[in-house]
Amino acid sequence: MTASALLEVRGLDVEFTAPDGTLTRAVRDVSFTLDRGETLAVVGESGSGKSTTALALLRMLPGTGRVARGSVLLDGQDLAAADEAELRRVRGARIGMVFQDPMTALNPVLTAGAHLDEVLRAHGGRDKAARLARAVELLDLVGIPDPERRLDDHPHRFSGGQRQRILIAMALAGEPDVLVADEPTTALDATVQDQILTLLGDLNRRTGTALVLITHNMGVVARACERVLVMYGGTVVEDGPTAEVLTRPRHPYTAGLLAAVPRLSAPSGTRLAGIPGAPPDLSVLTDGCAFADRCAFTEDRCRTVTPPLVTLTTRAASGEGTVRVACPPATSRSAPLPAAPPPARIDRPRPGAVVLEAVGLRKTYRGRGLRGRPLTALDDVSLTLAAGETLGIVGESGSGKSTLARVLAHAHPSDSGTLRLDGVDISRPSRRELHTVRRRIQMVFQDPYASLNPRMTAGQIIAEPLHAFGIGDRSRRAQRVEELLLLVGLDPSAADRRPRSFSGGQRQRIGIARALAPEPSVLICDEPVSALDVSVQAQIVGLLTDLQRDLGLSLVFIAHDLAVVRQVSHRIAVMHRGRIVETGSADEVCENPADPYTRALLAAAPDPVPPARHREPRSTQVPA
Amino acid sequence: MGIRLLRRLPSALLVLLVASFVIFSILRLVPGDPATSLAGPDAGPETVAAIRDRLGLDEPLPLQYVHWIGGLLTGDLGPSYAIGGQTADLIGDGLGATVELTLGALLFVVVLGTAFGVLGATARRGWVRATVRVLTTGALAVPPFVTGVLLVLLFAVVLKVLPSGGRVSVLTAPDLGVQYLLLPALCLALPSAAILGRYLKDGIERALAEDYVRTATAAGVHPRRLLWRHALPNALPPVVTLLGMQTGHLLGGAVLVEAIFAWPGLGQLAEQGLTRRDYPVVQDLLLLLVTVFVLVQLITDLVHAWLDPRIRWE
Amino acid sequence: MTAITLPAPGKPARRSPRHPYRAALASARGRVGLALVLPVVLAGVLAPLLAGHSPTDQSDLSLAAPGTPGHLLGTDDLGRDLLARLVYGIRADLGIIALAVPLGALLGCLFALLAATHPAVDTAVQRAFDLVLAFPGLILALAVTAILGPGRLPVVLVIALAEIPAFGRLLRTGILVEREREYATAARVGGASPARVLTRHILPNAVDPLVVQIAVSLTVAVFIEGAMSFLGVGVRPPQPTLGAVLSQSMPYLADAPHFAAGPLITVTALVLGLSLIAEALNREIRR
Repeated sequence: MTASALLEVRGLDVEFTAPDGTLTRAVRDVSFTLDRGETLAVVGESGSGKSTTALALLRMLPGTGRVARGSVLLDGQDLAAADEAELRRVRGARIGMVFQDPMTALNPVLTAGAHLDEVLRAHGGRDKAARLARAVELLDLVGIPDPERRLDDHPHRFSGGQRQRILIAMALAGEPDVLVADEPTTALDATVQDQILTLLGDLNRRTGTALVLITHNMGVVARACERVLVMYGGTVVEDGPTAEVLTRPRHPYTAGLLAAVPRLSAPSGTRLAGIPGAPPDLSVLTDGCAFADRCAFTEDRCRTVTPPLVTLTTRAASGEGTVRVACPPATSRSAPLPAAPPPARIDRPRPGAVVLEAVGLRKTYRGRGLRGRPLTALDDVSLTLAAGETLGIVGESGSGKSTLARVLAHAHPSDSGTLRLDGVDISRPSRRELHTVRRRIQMVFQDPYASLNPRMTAGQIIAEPLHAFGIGDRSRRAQRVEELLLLVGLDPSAADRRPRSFSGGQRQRIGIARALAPEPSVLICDEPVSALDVSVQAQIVGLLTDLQRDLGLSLVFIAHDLAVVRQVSHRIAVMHRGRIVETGSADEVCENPADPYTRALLAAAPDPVPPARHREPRSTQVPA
Repeated sequence: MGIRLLRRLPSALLVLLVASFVIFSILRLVPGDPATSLAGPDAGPETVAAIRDRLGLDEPLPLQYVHWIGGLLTGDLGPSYAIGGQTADLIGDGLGATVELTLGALLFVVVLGTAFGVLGATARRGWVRATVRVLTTGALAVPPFVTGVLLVLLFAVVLKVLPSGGRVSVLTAPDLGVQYLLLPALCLALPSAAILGRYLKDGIERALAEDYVRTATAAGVHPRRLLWRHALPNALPPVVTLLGMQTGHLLGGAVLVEAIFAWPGLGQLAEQGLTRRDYPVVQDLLLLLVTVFVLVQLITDLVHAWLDPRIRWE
Repeated sequence: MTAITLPAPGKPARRSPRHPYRAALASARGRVGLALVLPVVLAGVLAPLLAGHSPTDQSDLSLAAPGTPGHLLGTDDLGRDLLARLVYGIRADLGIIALAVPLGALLGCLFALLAATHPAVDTAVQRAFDLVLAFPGLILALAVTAILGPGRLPVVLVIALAEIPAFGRLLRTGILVEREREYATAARVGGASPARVLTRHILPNAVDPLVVQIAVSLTVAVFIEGAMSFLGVGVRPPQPTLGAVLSQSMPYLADAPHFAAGPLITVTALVLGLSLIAEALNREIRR
């Protein structure tokens, strides 16, 4: 706790009141400091309180949220106790903020220039011409080409990455001391994410603005910040230099999280350990460690006493530093936790004969409106899938990978091209043939919230395909539902509950059970883990891999995260603008990429390995 | 903008064409012969035949239709059958009265609707918001014939400050005209004002909850400016569309309000024309109303596009 | 295989387990709404027991004040008992509404289902709805009455005609939205037939707005009946309806305001109550 700290947060508590009066403590006793020019990452999974903490700094909490206790000292001024007028003088002027989704964070009816002008006006820019000049300067600073001309453009004329740049320009307009960025790259593709992170790093160096980066992505932490604060269940569990925390985690949660992150460098067939269980429900949380239920090192005291943050001195190669950890078993041991067992290789049978074959698939969507240009989603896509094989398909948003999934699963028809199942042409099936095909090819969807009918129970949802394919009688079906629930790792008693009462990971298990119900031989998984937290993602990936091995399934695994795809796939196909630009064995594609686009994708993927000191900033370019 | 207008024009003309067919056919479905009712109960068959001939009722229907449309296009609406006088004059008089009533109501709709919407969404005091909510629910639910009776009871019977019915043109005698206009216009406006207010309130609340307002808040923009410069422009386009639709509803509702307040407008004329089988008057009148409705939609569409840059550049 | 993850126990339900419609009626708005509507409905249903007079019997006692022996609410200009006219008026309105609103809703839903079969049909149905909406509703009422002559039937038809586009558009939008939902796709991929996808997945999720619309339509029906009476094209006199009694009272507002009081209060209670119920349903459904 240096006296010169720019920002000091002490004992911050944030509470939300539900309509029925229940109190949720989303942030509990959070303390940390931020020095001038420092870069600090706040990392955690959904419900960890990281975004709420960021919003609480400027008292921008939504709904019923309020700072219940604690202080936020900015150069000694307590923002938690400041009135609205004082807060307005701080917001945008001393602390700038950037939010997650650049598509919604800009006002659709205001031009880029008007956005910047609003901030400059709010902080006393009286001269219109001067504001205009400054706006051009700011757009230039964040790397928008041709800034004078772009001032008059509305947000929908900019790409996602450019919009995020404009938001960063807005946050910097008042020359703040701190820039708080709440998941600034989560909604962006990996290559764009890389550019934005480079920009944030540059700006930090050039303007000396301290950076607080909220993220769930360990790769982003490693890539962008010197220090990291790990949050879980609304509390800080670990805080220290990035290099130290990421390589020698002391808190069991940090260690578990790091072990669950797929690494691009890990070869195909690696099994990752997820953290068992699901994140805690903050409204029923009592005293004790929030992580106790999921922790392998839990002792009695963990459940009764809320663990305090204890400062430890570390002696790393980079010099002496301090780490704060909230875990009595770990701190009393005064040495890093025993390292997690090295990731295990999975013993997988060799793929057999070709089951599914696609040749020259094309799909074009009609443009919207009278003059809307048609969108080519699939452009001459060919692939094969062998029995017992996992084919990974990787690509950024708009690459056509989801369309491919839907065409393969016969959810949408293709415009042209041939699909063969066991050598039989199924491209244009009759209704009867379609029925047979669907029994063999099933699909797991991306969004575990949207893909389950909210009005049906888990049992009804899983029994739906059994019913559709006329499998078994009533009692046999009930028995089969029970088997399937057990197969995907759920308790059979879950059958009577509706989707609303399950967590994201549990819902995805229900979706998998539904897909497995008619005993298919091919399973198309469209981004099955991208909506899930890392620790849960590892569980689901593990489940899919096990199911494949035990049931001899052929799997098409679609994702935007190259590391996950490499981990589960035998072979990888890289998609870009509706085409497959490269196919090969998973390890080969990741080690020796042939296509420039694959190389760009690989270079942009953030790996949770702390960088060596003073590394040259990487530049990545997407081939046009 | 011009291109947009050109693109919308064909479908608008099509609606008018179909509407003219429908109007023409419906009137021919009405039982009873206008010539018979015009000639009176005592007239002999030759009198009726003469009237039929004079009015062109013996012509085949398609020809009658062509004559009608041809007359409309050349500006010759012809004489009325039964009411007496030229159709154009009758409609002209009624139109003046109805337009006056509708515009008066529209003014109330905009003023009250905006007040309901902005206060309902942003008033700090809970009781203000609650009052607005109760007023909106009431104004929306209670039909004009009930509010009409209540308004007359209050202002004409109890307070005796405003007349209970009739009309003096605002153009010829502004101060007196306004007194006659106030009650019917308010009565006509209330439901539409309530709908507009509710839409605006929802729109503002939704816009204020948007990410871009959070962005502006984080940048230190003053709450008043957040409302007027950031939230309101986003809440407006759907409200403008709604206002266009409500203008149509006002025209329709005017028929009822005219009956309650003895306001000599198009509604009264339509009622007369229908009961007395006066084809020309009713035809022209209905087509006029549909035309106004279509025009309002067209204007609404253009204003909507002008307000929303995403559509403007499409 | 993998460890069994037990569903998180004791996770408090974010929403009351009760059915949303029941929850809506139990809310403050819903209760006030019911308290306003139920007595009116009851009065209409029990009209023969409550009236004590025939609603059309004239007497010499013209415009008698309320409280006159034998005439609790007084009499009208023709000496008819106002209580009898009120309760039988409610009864007449209920009869019209009970016929017209379900008819409009049914036809509207049928058109929506028809529109869902093919884009071309959809366009045709949409344009037909547009055309109906392009005619101001009360002009339509005048035209229909001109063809059929005044009476109960035209009133029922006009109300039904006005409700068709409302229900039709609502259900069409619902079907279009729900059809693109991922769980509908999931059901198709899971082998469910189009009919099963429609009945089991799409319709149950698209039906809520229709329930709200029914409450709204009931108020619209009360409005149309009244308006047609005021325009002289409603149910034929001397039969009482709420609108007819109110419109007959207009000339006597200054001298005998009690003449208007009964229908005025009844209509207000009815429409306010229905609107509150609609609001309550809407809030509960949108949760």
